[in-house]
Amino acid sequence: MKFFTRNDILIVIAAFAIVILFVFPRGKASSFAEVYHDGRLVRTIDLSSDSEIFLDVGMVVKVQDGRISVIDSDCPEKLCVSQGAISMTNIPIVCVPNRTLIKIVSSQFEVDAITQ
Amino acid sequence: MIEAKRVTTLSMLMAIGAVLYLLESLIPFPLPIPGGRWGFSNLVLMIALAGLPFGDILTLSIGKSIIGSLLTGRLATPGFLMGVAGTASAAATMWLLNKTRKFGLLGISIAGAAVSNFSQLMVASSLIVKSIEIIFLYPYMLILGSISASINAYVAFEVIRRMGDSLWQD
Amino acid sequence: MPKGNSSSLLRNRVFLYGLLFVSAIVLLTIVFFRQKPLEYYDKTEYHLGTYVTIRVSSSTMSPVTLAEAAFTEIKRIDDKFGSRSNGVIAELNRTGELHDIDKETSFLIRSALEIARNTSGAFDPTLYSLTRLWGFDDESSKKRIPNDKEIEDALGSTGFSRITYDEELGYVSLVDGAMIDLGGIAKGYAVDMAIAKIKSLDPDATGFIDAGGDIGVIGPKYGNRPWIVGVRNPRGESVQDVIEYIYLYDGAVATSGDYERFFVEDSVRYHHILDPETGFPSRSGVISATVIGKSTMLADAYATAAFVIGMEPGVTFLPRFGALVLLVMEDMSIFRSPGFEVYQER
Repeated sequence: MKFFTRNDILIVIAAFAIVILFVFPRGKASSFAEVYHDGRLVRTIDLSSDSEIFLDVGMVVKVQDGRISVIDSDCPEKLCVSQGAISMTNIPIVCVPNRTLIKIVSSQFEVDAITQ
Repeated sequence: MIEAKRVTTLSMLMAIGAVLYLLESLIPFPLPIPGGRWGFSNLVLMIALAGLPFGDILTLSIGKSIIGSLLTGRLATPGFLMGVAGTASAAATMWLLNKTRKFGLLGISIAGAAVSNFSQLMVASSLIVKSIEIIFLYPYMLILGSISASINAYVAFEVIRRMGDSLWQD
Repeated sequence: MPKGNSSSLLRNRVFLYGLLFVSAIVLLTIVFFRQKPLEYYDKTEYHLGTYVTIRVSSSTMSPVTLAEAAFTEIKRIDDKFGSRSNGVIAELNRTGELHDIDKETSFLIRSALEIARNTSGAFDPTLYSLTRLWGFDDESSKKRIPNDKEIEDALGSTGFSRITYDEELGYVSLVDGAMIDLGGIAKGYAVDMAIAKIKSLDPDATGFIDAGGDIGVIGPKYGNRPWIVGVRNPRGESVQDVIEYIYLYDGAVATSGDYERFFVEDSVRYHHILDPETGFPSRSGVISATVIGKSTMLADAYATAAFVIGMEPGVTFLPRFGALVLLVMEDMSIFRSPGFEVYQER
């Protein structure tokens, strides 16, 4: 059994390609965050004003300087807290125990209907 | 290989895997994914690859996850389900790639890590968070996964080189 | 190392496990896509002289069933009160009086009269002869500026005071050849009744009904989010051009604008919202009036009234009747009645 064969280069290249492909569409900064619980949008947060918001999924989020972070959570590992602040559309904050996802969205206005 | 030897080897590898599972959970994983692991315990899968049938490798992968989770006290967490899905799919991938006899341990290990991470995220996004967005974390997981996979590959290579024969011969 | 018994057997096993592995991933992916968040079902039909869109979702029933039940209700009301209908209103207009009218007609007449009184006649259910004179009664009618004599004649048979209505007897009579037209509130009423129909089938259904820009909310988006309604820019190039946003959890919103039906003659715009006092298109300086109300019927009727009243003190009384007003003036300035801003915050 060999440690390295020529075909391994293909796998390494494929792995790098995936990384680059996924990372390349760099996120845009935006001033709106959405909170999803169980895949449902439960809250929209305006990032243009600083605030601390208690989410009833058991998390406290803090908005400062257009960035949003989780400062407290009732989940055991508190990984979402250690992730720190996000402000780009490409990386969400995920809390698996709370089944919650916080992501930055590029646009606030998605009109459902127009009155005329 | 005689039956007793096979069972002994399997049990021994599972025990080592469970211990590695416990030890690696002490190393902080820098990404905010519960059940996100370095994957060092998959080392035993790589060693087993050389001589055990697929069923045993699958048993090994799931067994070390269950025992490891018992040791770390995370058996009933969402992270556990992600870990099992990840390690089982990694076992399948690595076994398949090994069967082709075209790839070395490094490639097999990295491919296993890539598939494992993908399954973990799919489980998290389909059953737990229910948002596809967490797939954005995939490249970062893949980078970390590739690092530990490379280390795994090297250690497994050394282990097999030094004692592979004594492991698998009657 | 153990080897496969034969190479073909090995290949078969590789193939089998490969297949299993791939199908596992496919299954996982399918599971994910099946568990998408609550989906809304959209259905659009042409009723009440406009396109009606129902967007509905239910956790206990098929949204298709709900939408169909709602459209059945809308069609029933369209047949009964729509401008082309040959129902009870046509009979009333023909004979001038009617006894023992049914509860529903009675409710609509009473509501129309109440709104007319509340708005001092800015909303008037008797303008049909004027509307027909201008050619605004139908898309295909020839639109023209009537002469003063014609207008004067028409004004002689309009005005809500020409309706006599006795609720207890169920008796309505029209004097001076007045004709009643419930088209102004029937559309909103149809939306309200359709919502009631959906609610009776599933009290927890969510969604909204959009009848040509008059929007009634069935329930909040996903149960806890507002529907975002854009107010059309009255001078915008397209319908999609939006100047204001409203967030609705419940209730209704409707807009009257001079862009809906109009013709231009000698570079003057003659639109379909007639001032019951002058018989001419209302010249209040308003080009679009949006009203948020607790029912679509009220929102629709008060939007017409607000358009006619304009930025007079009268419009400040409308919130008293549960109608919050947003007016867009000719210079594109915007007036909001107190309380409207609550619906513009997320």
